[in-house]
Amino acid sequence: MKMHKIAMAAACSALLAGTASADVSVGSLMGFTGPIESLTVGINASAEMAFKEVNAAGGVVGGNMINLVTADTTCVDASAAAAAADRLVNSDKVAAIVGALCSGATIAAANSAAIPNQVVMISPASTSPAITGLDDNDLVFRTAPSDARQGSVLASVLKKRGVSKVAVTYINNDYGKGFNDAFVSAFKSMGGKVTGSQAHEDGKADYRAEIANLAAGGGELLVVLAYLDGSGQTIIRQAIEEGDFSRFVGGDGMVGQSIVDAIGGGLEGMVATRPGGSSDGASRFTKMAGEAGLKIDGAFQAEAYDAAALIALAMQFKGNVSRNGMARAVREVANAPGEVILPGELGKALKIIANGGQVNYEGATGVEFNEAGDPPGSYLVMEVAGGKFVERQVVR
Amino acid sequence: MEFADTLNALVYLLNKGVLNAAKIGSIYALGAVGITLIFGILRFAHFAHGDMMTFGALSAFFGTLWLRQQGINIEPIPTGLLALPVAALVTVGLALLIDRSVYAHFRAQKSPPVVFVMTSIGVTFILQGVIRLIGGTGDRQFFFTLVENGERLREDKARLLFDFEWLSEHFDGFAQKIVITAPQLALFVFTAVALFGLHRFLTRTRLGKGMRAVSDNEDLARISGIDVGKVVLFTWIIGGTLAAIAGTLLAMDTQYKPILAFNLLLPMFAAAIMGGVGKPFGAVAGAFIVGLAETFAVFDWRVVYNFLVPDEMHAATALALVPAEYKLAVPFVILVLVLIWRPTGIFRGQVL
Repeated sequence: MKMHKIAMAAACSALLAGTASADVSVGSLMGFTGPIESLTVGINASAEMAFKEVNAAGGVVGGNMINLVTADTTCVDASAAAAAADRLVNSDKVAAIVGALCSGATIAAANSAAIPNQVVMISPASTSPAITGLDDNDLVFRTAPSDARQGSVLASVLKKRGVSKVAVTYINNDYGKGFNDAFVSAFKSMGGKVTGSQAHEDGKADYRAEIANLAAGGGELLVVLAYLDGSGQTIIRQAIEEGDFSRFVGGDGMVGQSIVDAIGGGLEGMVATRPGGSSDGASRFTKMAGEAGLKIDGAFQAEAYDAAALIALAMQFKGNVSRNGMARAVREVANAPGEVILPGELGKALKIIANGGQVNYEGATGVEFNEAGDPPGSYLVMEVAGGKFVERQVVR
Repeated sequence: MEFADTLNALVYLLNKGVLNAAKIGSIYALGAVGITLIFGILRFAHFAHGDMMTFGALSAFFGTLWLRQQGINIEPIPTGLLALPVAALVTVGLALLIDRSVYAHFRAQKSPPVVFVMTSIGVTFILQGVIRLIGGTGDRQFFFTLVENGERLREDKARLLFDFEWLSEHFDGFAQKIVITAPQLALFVFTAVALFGLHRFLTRTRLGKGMRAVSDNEDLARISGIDVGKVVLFTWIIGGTLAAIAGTLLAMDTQYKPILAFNLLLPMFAAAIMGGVGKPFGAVAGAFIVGLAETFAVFDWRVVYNFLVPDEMHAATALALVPAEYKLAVPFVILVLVLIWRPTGIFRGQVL
């Protein structure tokens, strides 16, 4: 009896692995180098945390251990992203992909490797509105909400704080362009004035000409829609040094401790939005991450956990670890009806599914996919105070 | 319109226009002189020059880190400047290593110039790899204080503030100021000293005159008893030193990046060709012309204009010739125009 229990518990994986089932690989396609490299570490670790939880509960589909294979998109280089996705799909034979992070990388990876090979991608961080309209055979999902909404959330936050004239600079890629369009039109429709909206290229050492032109137009503050380890940081540093702007606002790509450390006191009072909420699931995730020794200091970690959890539950749902039927299974486990599943309950969810029950994975971010595979999303308003980003309010 | 507004406009123009042009022009000048010397004496376009600048900046960064770890910090001189001599030495060493191991081989074979150019592109890729191997792919800041656990905290750059108090006292409504940071001041001083020193060297010393002779006509110089090997050696020493200075000062003014000098390569070649290949002072003139042209091509005249016209005529949209993202296209256009209309450059250098 005792022997039996032990075997049923943690060690069952070892026994089963030897007999019936092999392990299954899932890809982690992320920007390990490049302008969001400091965020990527935590995002990847969060996805890994979900799979560890699943493996500790005995794996999926009769004891398959999930093995996370990483690949680097570099975030800004579409051809590098496509090559990395190609490697995951065709060489590592992954069952599904968590990623990519940067929107341009996600689009490139989806079009070149995932869609042609019928592999599901769940991006925890791509927020460009362009992904909604991707012709993807329902293969591309995301747990981060579209910037079409973040733009209007950010605009209303600024209006409420009494800001009426802003200058905007955005990174010249899918993320920046989509975000800028959404923000500028929302801010104007609320009666605000945009004194200048200018794209910039990532990776340059000097943005002073761009900043000076924006400053020439006036504006109470500078809205920087870029990445915190790339042009976003450089632009803010040089704007402060030149005395052109002293107040800054950002989007989800700018939230992280690394930029606060790099800029210092000049960043105090910076406001930024990022996907997130104060739901039960979110606080459970934060607590779990803390116990696992994971620092929650940037955006998209809860989204990554959810993306990974969905892939594991979907495999369990369809009863095999192949690529076939993955997209439909993801929808089945993510959307109602079924028993609500929060972070930390993956073992329970696997058991329910194994017994023929239905689950509705809510997770840390309240996952529910619409037709396009987008979540509804709520946002956190963050502000730099006392040398770190603190949460100010939740916008639904 | 009041006189104070005219002053406002002038000082703004000086600050955001002329000074910015001078900053980038100085960087271009230091790089273009090296390029034109190598072009003139060794007779090939040295595409790896930009990455030698990056390498110099990286060596200076490690020098700065080491100096700070030894507790050496002389306020208000930026520590990066103290590391500059070592960075220059390392960069010269690298230049000589490349010359001896790669270019010397093709010189001995009397290879045509196109072989050298292709080789230098190959060297560029190798250098970019080596730079990333040593320094990583991330950015690095030159201004930091070390705390006990070895972590680097950001430190503000020392700066000079000109707020023209005596002007605002006399003219009501004058409110412009100019900020020059320590690395920018260093950049102006180093450029002036380095170029003056180079001028003395090329015109007053035997070796300098020899370099000019080789640049004009190598065979004639050789028959006249000039040691061409020595000339080649000093070409690399001067080019390497100037590259290290330019790279380090640029990295201190902005930040170190592995692709730091990549965007500079084209403007520097435009400057060197515009000034006349083999003419160091033509390259300096070309550098400042390119710097001025690209700064003023993207310069937003709106503020100047609004100071000068009555309120009701104020411009709301940008008044720039081209948007700022086309800045790099300006040197390219200049390069094409010079090659079409005056391939020998302003100072009648060699024809390519």
